[in-house]
Amino acid sequence: MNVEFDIPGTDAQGRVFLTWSPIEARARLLQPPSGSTSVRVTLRNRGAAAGGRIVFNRVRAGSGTPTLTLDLPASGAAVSFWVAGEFQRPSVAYGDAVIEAVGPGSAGALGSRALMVRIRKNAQTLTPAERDRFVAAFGTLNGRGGGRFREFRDMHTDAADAEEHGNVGFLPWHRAYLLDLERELQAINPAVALPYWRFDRPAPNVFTRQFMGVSNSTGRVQFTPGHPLESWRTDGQPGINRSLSFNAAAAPAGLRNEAQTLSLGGPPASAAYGPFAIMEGNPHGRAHTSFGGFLRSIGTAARDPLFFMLHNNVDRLWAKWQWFNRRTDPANSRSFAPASPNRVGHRLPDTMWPWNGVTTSPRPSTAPGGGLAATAMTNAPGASPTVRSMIDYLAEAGGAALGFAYDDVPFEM
Amino acid sequence: MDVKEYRKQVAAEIAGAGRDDRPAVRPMADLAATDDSDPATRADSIAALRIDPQNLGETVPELLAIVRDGAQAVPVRMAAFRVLAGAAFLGPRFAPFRADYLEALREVSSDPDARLRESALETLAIEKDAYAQNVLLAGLKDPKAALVPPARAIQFLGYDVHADVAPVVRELFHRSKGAVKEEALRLLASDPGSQKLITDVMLDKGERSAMRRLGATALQNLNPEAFERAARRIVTDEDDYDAIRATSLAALAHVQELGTAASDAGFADAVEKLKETTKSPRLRSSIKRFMSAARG
Repeated sequence: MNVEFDIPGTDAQGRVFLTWSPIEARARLLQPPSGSTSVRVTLRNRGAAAGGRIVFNRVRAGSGTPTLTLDLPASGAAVSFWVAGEFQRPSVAYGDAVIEAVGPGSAGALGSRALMVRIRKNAQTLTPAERDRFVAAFGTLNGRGGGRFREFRDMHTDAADAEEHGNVGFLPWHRAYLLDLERELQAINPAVALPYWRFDRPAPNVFTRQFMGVSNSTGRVQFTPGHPLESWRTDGQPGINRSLSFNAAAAPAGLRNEAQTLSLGGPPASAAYGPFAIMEGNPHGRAHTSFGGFLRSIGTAARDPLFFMLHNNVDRLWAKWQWFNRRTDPANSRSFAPASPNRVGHRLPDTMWPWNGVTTSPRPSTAPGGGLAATAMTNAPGASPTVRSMIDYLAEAGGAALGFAYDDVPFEM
Repeated sequence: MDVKEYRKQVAAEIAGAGRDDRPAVRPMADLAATDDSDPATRADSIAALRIDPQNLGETVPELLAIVRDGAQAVPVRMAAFRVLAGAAFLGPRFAPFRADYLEALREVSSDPDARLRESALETLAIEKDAYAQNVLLAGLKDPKAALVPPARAIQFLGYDVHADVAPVVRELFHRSKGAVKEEALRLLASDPGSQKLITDVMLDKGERSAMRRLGATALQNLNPEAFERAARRIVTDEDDYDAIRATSLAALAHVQELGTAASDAGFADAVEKLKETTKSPRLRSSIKRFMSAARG
């Protein structure tokens, strides 16, 4: 007798990735003992002590329990249950989280499934293995200038400015951009989740030769020999131009800190997206101009891989504001704001360039990269995402989640 | 942690920060109060200015005036510059001020203060500003006319490489060392006319490790076949340095991963043997990556 699990979003290699957002899975009995009509099994965690942990529930809810008892029919009919990563217990490697089914009085498991609670984390506290797999994947994506990264670089130029900045669509556009890049990294190494650079706190572990590099006196980033980003190349030029206007052991000055940023938009009862979105200037813009080099200007910023970690923190701040103020439902008028100016690409039903492939005015004349990358994990947001589809990224109101979550932003219904 | 408890924790953190959502209606009026303060205090006040889309019309012209004002202390002018550069990230909202911003930078590009000149010229170079490009090139040709150190000038010209730059930079490469030589090599990395120069750097055991690794990266882009030949030679040379061998092998691993390299059992055997003899962690890491790629 054993228990088989069917978990949606399983990839072609049989791998499963969870976030904090619950998904509906199923369990069924195979080769039941004769004479039984059902068998009571208990689902539980059996992963590594420091690995990811899972919670279970019979229904879709904002919380779960570390174990769950199910009665599985001897007929083999599947019984559904809900499973999610336990908040603040992410994985560090694939397979360190395991669902196990045990029967009454069993000496061993009736079935198990190894998986990963794959979560976006603070770059400052990554393990060396997490850091190394991320930079290796990023180096491969860049492909010494000839890889798919070229398209991501081409998406973020002055020509596309009006699609991406200075309007309410700034945050949804960059959320889609990061998601697209992250999925490409995961196609190289599925255990990768895009880390964030928390720019309002010191991050000395980020600015090292082993990670994002150390700038020399001429503002050139230096890595250890053989580092995957050592051969980074963009616009036909090798290397990364970056000089810090702050001490790498400290945080940049002049930025709104996290608490100040989260307080934008008003108290929870009346918090609104429009006033919150002024964070585009500060802390976002100030974080960029804490550097000389590529990051200093919109047209060149995406040439530096640190850009994506900077923007991941911007997105995390939005996600945390959304959760804290309960502004994840796009139907709530305070979850978003009218476009100002009223430009296409910044309204809830609008599709976003470049993923929509539109190259007629007022959109840019080219649309690099094709549709937004797909993943086995979820079918959301689709190849041509709308602004609306980026709001409820954890699917708190139901539907399909986008397949990412932050280590300090929970799922809550 | 229970999510409800976590929510209380976050609420306490936000409450502790104080509200920061009041519209910054007259931020420059607040700044005027610091006119007589010492430069450090005034610079801090500028850095703390809340520049938001609705107050750009008031703040940007005054900040530009501060940047241009040679009578103001340099830290104050640099603080204003950084705030303006941050406002430029508001994209289309900053567009009405952009021409004035770039004009102010052109003025500041010949400022007596080196930091201001360098910041202004880098920003202009990123914008592919023709005035800045001409000024930088003139400085490379005639050091008396240079407004920034030559290494930085070459780096800034690299934001928009023109055909007339390569000959000047090649000449500088041959008569310079240190940072100037390195920046010159980077700029020449996409110049087909510099392939021999780059190959020589990569193979020269007397050259600095960082330069040779840079040469390897550059050659791989310019001529992948020539790069593979040079890289294999380096990797199998027991008298060469571990750092360049690690870089070359990592680059060859990438070629393997792309599936564009012909499999070479003899070379793979040589790399396998290297694994037994080297003590370098970086080289061992590159070997592991190469062997994994070679096995497919």
